[in-house]
Amino acid sequence: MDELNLQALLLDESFVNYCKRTNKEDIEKWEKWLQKNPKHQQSISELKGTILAMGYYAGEVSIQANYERLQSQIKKRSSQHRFTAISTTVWFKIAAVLVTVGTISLFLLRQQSSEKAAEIVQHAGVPGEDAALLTLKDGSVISLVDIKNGSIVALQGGVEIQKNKDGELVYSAVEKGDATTAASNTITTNKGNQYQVILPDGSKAFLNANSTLTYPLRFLKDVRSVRMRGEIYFEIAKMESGSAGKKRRVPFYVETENQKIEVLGTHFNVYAYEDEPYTTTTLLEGSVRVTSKKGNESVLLKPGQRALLNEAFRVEDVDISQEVAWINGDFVFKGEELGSLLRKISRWYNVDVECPERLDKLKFDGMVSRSQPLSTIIDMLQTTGKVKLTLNGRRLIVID
Amino acid sequence: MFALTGKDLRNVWDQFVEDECEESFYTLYKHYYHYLSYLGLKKKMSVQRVQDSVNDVFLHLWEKKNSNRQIRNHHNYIVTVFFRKLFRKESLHLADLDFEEESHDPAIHQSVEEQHIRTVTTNTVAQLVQEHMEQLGTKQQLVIYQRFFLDLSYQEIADANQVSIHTIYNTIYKSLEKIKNNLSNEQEIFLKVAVGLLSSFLLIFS
Repeated sequence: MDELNLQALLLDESFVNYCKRTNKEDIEKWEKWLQKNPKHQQSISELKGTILAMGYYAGEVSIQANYERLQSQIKKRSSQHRFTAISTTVWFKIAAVLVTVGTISLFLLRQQSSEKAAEIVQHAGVPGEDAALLTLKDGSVISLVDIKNGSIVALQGGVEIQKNKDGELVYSAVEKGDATTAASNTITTNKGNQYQVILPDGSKAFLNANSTLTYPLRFLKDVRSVRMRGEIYFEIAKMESGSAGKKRRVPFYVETENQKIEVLGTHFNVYAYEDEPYTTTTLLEGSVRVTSKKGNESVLLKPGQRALLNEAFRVEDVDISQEVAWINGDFVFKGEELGSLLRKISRWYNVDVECPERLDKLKFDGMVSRSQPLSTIIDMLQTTGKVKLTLNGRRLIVID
Repeated sequence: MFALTGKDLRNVWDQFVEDECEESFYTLYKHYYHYLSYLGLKKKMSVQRVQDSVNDVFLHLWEKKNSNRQIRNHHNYIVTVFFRKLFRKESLHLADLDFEEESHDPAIHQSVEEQHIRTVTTNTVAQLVQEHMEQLGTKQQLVIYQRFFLDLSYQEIADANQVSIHTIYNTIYKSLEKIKNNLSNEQEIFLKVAVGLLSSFLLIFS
């Protein structure tokens, strides 16, 4: 390996132990490794210095923020024992860190207060769950939440549809069927639902709330094609057709209202809701080509990039962890506009949001599990002091 | 200021008790913030609750300044009060918790190395990283602190922040990548010199 694989190094807890010198065996292990790989010595020691300094300064910031909080607590309790400033320069640094350009940080996971809030709202604002509706080729509709894990949902045209032990929907051909049948199935999630399905070719699709995916019961031999709206994360299985020596990859097409994505075998996320200003395609692995239907414009994405489409395409580098945090069951917001944040909340908690337009562009940072009740997020947003929210039944109302 | 050994800490404590001086109060706070955060998060308590409890301990110490003289073992006292606040049990004793002094006290354990970083690289590595740290969000910094300073595992951090281990892992990876990329070429030259210095320094001391 010529380039150090940062991701692999970080995953290996022994490497961090080596940097921190907390475990004798790990120190020896990595020192031996460095002796064998002397060309990495430079970059490893750079990395080590960076990791140590990052930990140290992150700690300083955390201390300062909490000490400032302590000071105001003390001030509140007794006015005669007031502190004098410690060091003005330190406070300037803290202030600089805290007032990150126009972004308001949420102080997350305030358990105590969220528990209290939860008592009040109780029924409204519960987090979403795994549920979806499946429409078969004959038009009959099955509610998947009512079917037990591990049982057969339906058998159509020689294709067995099963809900496996993890609750995913799995398609598998049980007899050789006629590949030309155009019969298709549709899976739909309502607001507050999500669902995973394994398509007839082994590709995985993970539907977020309020989304739809339509796919054939059997894919054609030389092309695979599906239609969708909403948000779906795909892991496309590689497939080849033709005889030995003359094999070619079978492309997979994902069609939304405004664009068509061509893929060969890869991981990507499509965000295509009617109420969003952009159709967003985010690539995690491999490569995809996205083509707009209107202008027939097309862009090729590299991993770590996303394509935003409204009138034309805009391609930009993104933080993948933020874009697809929902797959891991989390909301991660970084400089996210309130309007966009509220639309995500509205879909997952199945609430209608009322928010004055002038607040739409306020930006927020935060990280919270999707399994938390809505009250946790309401509480987080309110702690910033920038907005007030009230939940009235299924109506979430935002005011200054 | 950071590398407090038992005896230094005792002196700082005495100074705080005698003079009721804010500087020593702050020194104690800095030291125990790390230690108590480590203990609390290891007990699977949420970050917010741990931070609140640390502050409650110091609010208590500040308000009871007059009775602090009677405390014989300040360390056990602080740890006991902390756990009482953390578990909200006023009658809790250390014995009930079968509390053992953590052999891995991050504040003491890392002090040697951290001080080297501070003294050797005051103008270089640390400063470069410090400048760029501001680009990370509050939450990102907190997670970095828990992993790279407190040495909590990914799983422990995920529990404390109540998000998935993937999100924690991704957050740390992205933060590190961002900081690394941000150190521009010109600064990287600085960094190389500094790290060179740092490693020779560490050689002498290890």
